Amino acid sequence: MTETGHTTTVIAEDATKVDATWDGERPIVDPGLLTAAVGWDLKPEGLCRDEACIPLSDRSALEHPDGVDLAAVAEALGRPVLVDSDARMVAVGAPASDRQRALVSRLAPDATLLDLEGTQRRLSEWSGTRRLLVAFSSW
Amino acid sequence: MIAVAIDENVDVVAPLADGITYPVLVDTEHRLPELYAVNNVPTVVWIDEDDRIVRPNANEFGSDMFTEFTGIHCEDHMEQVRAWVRDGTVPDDAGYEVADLADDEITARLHFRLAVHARRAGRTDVAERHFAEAKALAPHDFTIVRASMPLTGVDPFGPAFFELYGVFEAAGSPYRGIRRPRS
Repeated sequence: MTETGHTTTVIAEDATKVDATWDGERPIVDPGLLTAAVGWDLKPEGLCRDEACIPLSDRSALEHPDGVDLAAVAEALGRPVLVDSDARMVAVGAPASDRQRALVSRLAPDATLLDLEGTQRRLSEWSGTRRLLVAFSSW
Repeated sequence: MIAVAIDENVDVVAPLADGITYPVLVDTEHRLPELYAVNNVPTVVWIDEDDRIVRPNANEFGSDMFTEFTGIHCEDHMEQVRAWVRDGTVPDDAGYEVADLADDEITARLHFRLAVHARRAGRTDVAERHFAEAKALAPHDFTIVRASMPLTGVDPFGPAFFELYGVFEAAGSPYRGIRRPRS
């Protein structure tokens, strides 16, 4: 059954809250919310970001009478997705192609991280120098 | 050198960075584990001026504090780093191919991130359920199993850590990257 108007947390690059209609396990959102949630917009050409568009082989898999299926959009973008309909939460991972860039093409993927002042920084700020990227932890 | 803490927030990292002059960043969303397939720390990646990965994930240490435990001497790595900076020499193991994440590990990371956000929102039940799912799917991944310990009230330096290390060794120590031979 379809339940409307549920605040749903979408965890992609950042966590955002969107209003979703839940059709069973399918989180349905207004197409206008896609950009905020996953960074891509649904257009006649396909899923678009800036000038780039990914054509869709099966547009009907994304569309729903109440909007667009957020999980199906993530999958169409090649991104792994996890849906918890009870908790009203959706987690969207990076596309496998981003990791292939590191593991196969050997090009260091960029990432946005926090510095100790809590400011967002990009790893690419240190491009142009030889560097060691060291992952450590408090645990 | 850029140090990236695979940690929950800036507050737990700041005391560790006291007096350090190179950049220290905090990876609250576990980007490095996801994008570079990092499954334990410390992991060091050599990156050149053109953003090319010269030597991939390697389990290298900044001191000999754990040498008795690991059999790894930090000086062996530091000497190789100096040679690379000096004349571009790269070690023989630089061509090592880091294996991609398995589907279960990719799903485990989604469970972990969902758990972290549920916990931040005070939804403890949801968080515990997804932490448990993440651990079940990626039982050898320290960035999931050990990183979740302080978030679930477990001491990451206590018995749970040694239990994890035992499970990891029994599975053939599946570190994703270069492990220096014990010397």
